[in-house]
Amino acid sequence: MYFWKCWRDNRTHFIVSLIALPALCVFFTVIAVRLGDPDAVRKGTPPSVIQAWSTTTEFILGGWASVFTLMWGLVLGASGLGEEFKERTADFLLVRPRRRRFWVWAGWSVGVTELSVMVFLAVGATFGTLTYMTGHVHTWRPLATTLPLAIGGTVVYGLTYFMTIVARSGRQGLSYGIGILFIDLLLPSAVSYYWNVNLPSILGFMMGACKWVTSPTAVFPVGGLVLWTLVALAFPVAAQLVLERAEV
Amino acid sequence: MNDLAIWTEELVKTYPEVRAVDGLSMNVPRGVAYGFLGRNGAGKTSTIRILLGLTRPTAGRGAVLGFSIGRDQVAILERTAFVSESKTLYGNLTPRELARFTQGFYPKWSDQAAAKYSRLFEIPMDRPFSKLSQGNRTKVYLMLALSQGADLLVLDEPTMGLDPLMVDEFLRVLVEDVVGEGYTVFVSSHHLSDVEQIADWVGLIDHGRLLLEARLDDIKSQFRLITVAGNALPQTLSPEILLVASEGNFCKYLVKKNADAFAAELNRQGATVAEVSPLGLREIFLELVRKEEACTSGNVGGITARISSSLS
Repeated sequence: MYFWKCWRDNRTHFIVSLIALPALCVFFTVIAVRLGDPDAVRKGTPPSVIQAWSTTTEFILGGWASVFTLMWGLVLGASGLGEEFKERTADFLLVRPRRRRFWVWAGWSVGVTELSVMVFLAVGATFGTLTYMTGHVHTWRPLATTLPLAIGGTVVYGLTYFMTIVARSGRQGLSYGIGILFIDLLLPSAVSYYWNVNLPSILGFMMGACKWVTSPTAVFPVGGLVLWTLVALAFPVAAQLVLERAEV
Repeated sequence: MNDLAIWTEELVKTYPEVRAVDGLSMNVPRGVAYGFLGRNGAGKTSTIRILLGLTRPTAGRGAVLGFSIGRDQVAILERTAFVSESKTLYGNLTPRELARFTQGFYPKWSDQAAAKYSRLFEIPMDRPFSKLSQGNRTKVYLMLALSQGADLLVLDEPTMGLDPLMVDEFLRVLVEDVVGEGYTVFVSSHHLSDVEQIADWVGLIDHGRLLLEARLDDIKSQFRLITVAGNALPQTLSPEILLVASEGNFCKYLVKKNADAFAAELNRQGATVAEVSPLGLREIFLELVRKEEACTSGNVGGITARISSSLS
């Protein structure tokens, strides 16, 4: 029943996003193709088609859809289990006969499922539109883009989810999550600029993975995927450790 | 220990600035209503939170329904219903949805009981919890707890916000449907009259320690407040003498049993016994937790020892 309750808490935002995100992806894809060379695209001239695909992939999925996913991860995480403390419902929930880790993993998995569904639909809408407009079908590569986007969203979601439990407040957890995300975005750029050392960044990973769709020379970022998957799983584990030791 | 619903032994809970529970040892028999009384900050809620695993004890041990606190927490929670002091539930859910949410956790959940209590307590089942009055929120909490089919009900200030009619109705339900069916009620409350109405046993806690644990019937039939005037009156407490306190020129003794024998012994020692009066729960509560100066007269140990031995 806790799964139902988690779904019940987010369902309005989720359904709105579920409609808005694919719609916006379709809209931006149409704009992106029209800003290129729509006649050539319509005729199926290979460079124009490739151009349309790479532009759309990089700027729509690698750009704003990634940011949207990260933002959604932040919002979703902030409404997670830690908010029970702020709302003073923790002493109702935590006396239900389940181990505390159940609450952590159940709440987290509902959020991950919602995020994944949204990402899948965004990617599907974008590449569906592209395929329809260009007449060119990329096979499994576009679908593989779902993975880094979903993992990226899950990392940020897990981070906020964890921070919300630590801070025992959704708002504070959100603030900490945004702060850490900014550090993750700015620090690698600064380190790379001054010392020429590449530090992993979640947005960089998501954008880079989207480039791989149309670049024949690019390699699928398996290492990054493994690294960020481990990071994504580390947050609920940390949240479990915190909650199991928490005094309510 | 199997005949006890709750037992604790030297339970301690310390926070950085306060010792909330200080060596609490109590025994709550199964199938009774047990009133857990104390002032604000006496340690009642901290004790309850330890029993339910919401917080960990600093020291000591205990068991609920035969399951060890901390180790068998899920087993305890499967058999225990809890009504917390805050009475806060999910604001966006209606009582009907809250019942649906709660029932999934308890195999012994009864839809019939939920329907019965929602009717009895006149709960608006389809209004969001956030839009309910304080009294209705309390009723929802009680309805959920009563429908769980729990062996033990732990109630922290359960009648808060209820009107007198509903309090009576709820207390009747506790006596008839819960204790009457052989289940245990552990109720923490400031409302002594409510507790007096339903409790078989009472435990009185102050500064984290149990000052008194007794059957309510024994309190009514045997506990006496003896008011005495005289010199060199006994000062020390014993298992039978729960309180020695001064009031003007008199000294008061709260005696657990054999009050007449104690009064006679005081008379024999040359003291004048002004009054031997029976006590209600309220008087005992006030006497035990009230801070008064001890009697100033001397010769402490000897007489008390003699009196205690003559009583036992």
